[in-house]
Amino acid sequence: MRRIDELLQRLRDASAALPAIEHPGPFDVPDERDPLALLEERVCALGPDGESSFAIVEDNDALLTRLRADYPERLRAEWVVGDEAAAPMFYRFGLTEAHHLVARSGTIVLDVARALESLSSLVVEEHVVVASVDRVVMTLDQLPPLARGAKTRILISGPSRTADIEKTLVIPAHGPCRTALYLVRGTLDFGALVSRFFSSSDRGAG
Amino acid sequence: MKGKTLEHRARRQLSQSGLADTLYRATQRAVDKRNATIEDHAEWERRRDHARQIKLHTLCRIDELLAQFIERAQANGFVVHAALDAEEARRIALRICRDHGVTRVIKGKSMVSEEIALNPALEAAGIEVTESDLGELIVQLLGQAPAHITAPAIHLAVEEILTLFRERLAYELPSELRFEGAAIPPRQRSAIARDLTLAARRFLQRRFLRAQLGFSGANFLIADSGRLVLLENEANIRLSTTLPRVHVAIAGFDKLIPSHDDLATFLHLLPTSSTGQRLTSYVSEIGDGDGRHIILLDNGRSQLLADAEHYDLLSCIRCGACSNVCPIFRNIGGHGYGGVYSGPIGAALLPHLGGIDAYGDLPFASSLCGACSSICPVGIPIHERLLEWRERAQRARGTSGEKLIARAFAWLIERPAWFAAAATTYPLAQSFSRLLPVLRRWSSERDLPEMPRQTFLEWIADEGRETQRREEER
Amino acid sequence: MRVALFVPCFINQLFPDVGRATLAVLENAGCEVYVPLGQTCCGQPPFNSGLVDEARRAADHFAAQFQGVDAIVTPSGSCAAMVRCHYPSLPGQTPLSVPPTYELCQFLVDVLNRLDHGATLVGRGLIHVGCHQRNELHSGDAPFALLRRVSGLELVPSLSDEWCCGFGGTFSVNYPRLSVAMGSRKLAAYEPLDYNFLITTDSSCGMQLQGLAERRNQGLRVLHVAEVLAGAHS
Ligand code: SF4
Repeated sequence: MRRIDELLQRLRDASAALPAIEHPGPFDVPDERDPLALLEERVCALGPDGESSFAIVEDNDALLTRLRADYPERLRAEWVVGDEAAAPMFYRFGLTEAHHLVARSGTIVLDVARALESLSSLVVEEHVVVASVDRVVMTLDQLPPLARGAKTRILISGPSRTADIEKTLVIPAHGPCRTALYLVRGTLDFGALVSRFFSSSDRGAG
Repeated sequence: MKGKTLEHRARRQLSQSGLADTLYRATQRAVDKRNATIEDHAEWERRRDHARQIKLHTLCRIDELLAQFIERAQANGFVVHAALDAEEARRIALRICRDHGVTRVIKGKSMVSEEIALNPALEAAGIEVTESDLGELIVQLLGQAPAHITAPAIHLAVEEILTLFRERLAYELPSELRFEGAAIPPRQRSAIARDLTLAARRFLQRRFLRAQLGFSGANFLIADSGRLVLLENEANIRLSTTLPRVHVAIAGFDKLIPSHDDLATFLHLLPTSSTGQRLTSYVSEIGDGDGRHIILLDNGRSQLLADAEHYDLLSCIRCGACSNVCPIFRNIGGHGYGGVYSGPIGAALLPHLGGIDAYGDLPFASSLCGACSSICPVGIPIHERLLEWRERAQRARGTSGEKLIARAFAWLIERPAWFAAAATTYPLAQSFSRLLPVLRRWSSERDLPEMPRQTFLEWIADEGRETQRREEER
Repeated sequence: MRVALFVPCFINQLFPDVGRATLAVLENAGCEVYVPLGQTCCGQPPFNSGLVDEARRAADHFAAQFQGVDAIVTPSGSCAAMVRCHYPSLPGQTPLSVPPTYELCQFLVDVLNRLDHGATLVGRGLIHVGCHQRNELHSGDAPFALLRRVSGLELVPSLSDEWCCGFGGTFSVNYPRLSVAMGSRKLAAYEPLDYNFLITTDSSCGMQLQGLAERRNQGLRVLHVAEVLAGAHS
């Protein structure tokens, strides 16, 4: 504590002579484009070689059907067990609800109570994201504050990547290689979706 | 640092075959991508002004805002430490490691940890340190410092990394990628770069799982929410700050921004300036403190803060764009600067953080083209800071040959006839160019223009134009 | 409009044709041009070396020479930037009072709003806009606006268009290796291109690039933008 006070005192002394500059206030960005169309364009551009996909479905039932069709083999109980030899710490895929989406940057926003809860977007080969269409905003400036109970926000824009060797783009670096985004018209019931998708009684295939 | 002026280092760096080629290629690609990403130039310029104002506002009220940050971060469960210098920061980091019985550390990229020379201190205490950013891992394995603020291995060609991985990671090139000779054929370069990346990934995965402590920097500290923000593409920082039991973040107090609402502007500016991305793949805005540690570092910054002419250097967001457009950087790379920070911002900052004796020559080694100031996303007039350093250096120096020449030159400037007469010595000087050091340095690799028969002003005088004008006035 | 022409010292000395061309362009554009014979140097060399007191003496001399006009025009972005951007920060008891000062292209475009000067130049031209024109005067587009109206002229873009030539005043002799390396890179990017000449806004950049090119026998005919606009070529 003593050191903190000492640092603050130093800063008080050092900044005393600086010109007073006001905070500029909010930044406003008029953008006339259609956010949903732009989101699709930008999400797809972040994975031009099939690393990203984008789909809009009518309602929760249609979403369930679509996920079952797109991920049939993953409905078995061992779906979470990765290929040990290839990637010892990775699950085949993770399913996450996005709290918001940002059109301009093609960003998926996750609000979580603890960073650890975002592992389903991290140690997976494929990150499957579901959200409601009315969660799309145009720019980062328009993002609402964190969801209630959340303390950490993760923004995801495209697959994990690196270009550290001669600027050659390599996907993935450590995180997922693919992101699949499914948007539902109307309200998303994520809890029900998860329990139906993974419940053995409601199993579609396998 | 004796004898180690920039001109000296430049000679060494320029003589490294291929270094400048590699740097020009990589930096130009980053700049081109940046330019292509900025769609709305008017909005971009407005954002730069906006960001500059936020940063300068933060700096003039830094004590209140930092106190607010500390209070809210503590309420979020962070343990907040303050370190007045590098030595103190290292001590705090070591104490945390000891308290948690840590023997293996995984690190996310952090320039501040370079600044305080953290790795050698941890290693001396018997702790295994692994850099998890690919570029950072490469320079760590080579025993080098990062060659660029955001792209540490920018100076290396694939061949060098291949050799390194063979030696250090027991890497073997898959049979389908084998090639003849020393240089990798162009069409195989990216396939090999990809395979090397995957090899590093496999190596690092074990390190992520074994590490008991993750170390990171921070791109922003948010005062009103008590959260810290980290940007990255690889996901190595998310893994480093999520998997190990303990997380320690270290940041200069200059990373502070007032509010969560201010973040968007910086998220717009930083990745685009750095790599031309609209946003990095990941941004973590961490507010679940739960025993995470934050070390707030001063290490010379408060002294710079008190410097009303230069304090805006503290608004730098370390995007590296100024290096990417800097012709000096492009020729000599980050290692040519002889300090932790490099490029134009390094040249302006290092004399503050590391002393004018060690780094005083950096501000002189610039053509003052101003490309850095034009590209800086927070509008720091970097080249003007370099000019001011020159002025300060001259004030500190006693009488020198250069000053006497300048004084004579100023005397001539005030006396047009003498000025013109002095200029007539040019052809004479030209014929003795080998003897005059100034002209010799010019003409060793460049021709000098010929002297025309008549100067422009002589011609004007002959034509009588000037006189005419004067007479009208009378 | 009453305009004073400032011909920077090295242009006066080494490139008088550029001065004559600038005068012709301004007069053709209908300006009443006055050339003070007492003009010398704007003071940039001592200023860039950090010798601000000497620079201030130069600035005072400059101010005394150029009074009573609506504008000062100069065929150098670098010297115009010295007056416009750096004079205000020079030390001194009294404030400096200098009429508004412009680089030639900036003046023609922003003040006179006159883009077409009836010039003809047949051929393919590389363009090098001096760094201070772009980064300090923020007038990097002006030369292009003018050159696009020159009949017969085809502009050749190069990867290195925005790269510094490496001159930098005293930098060129204090750090010759870096200076030469910078200029060489710029020239190397020209090599694969098909061009007839290089048009520049600053004779100092032209001197650096031409000096380097001549030493290597890389043909490079350098024209100042004023010479092109004066239309004295074909
Ligand atoms: S000075 Fe500006 S351009 Fe350079 S790294 Fe800092 S923010 Fe980026």
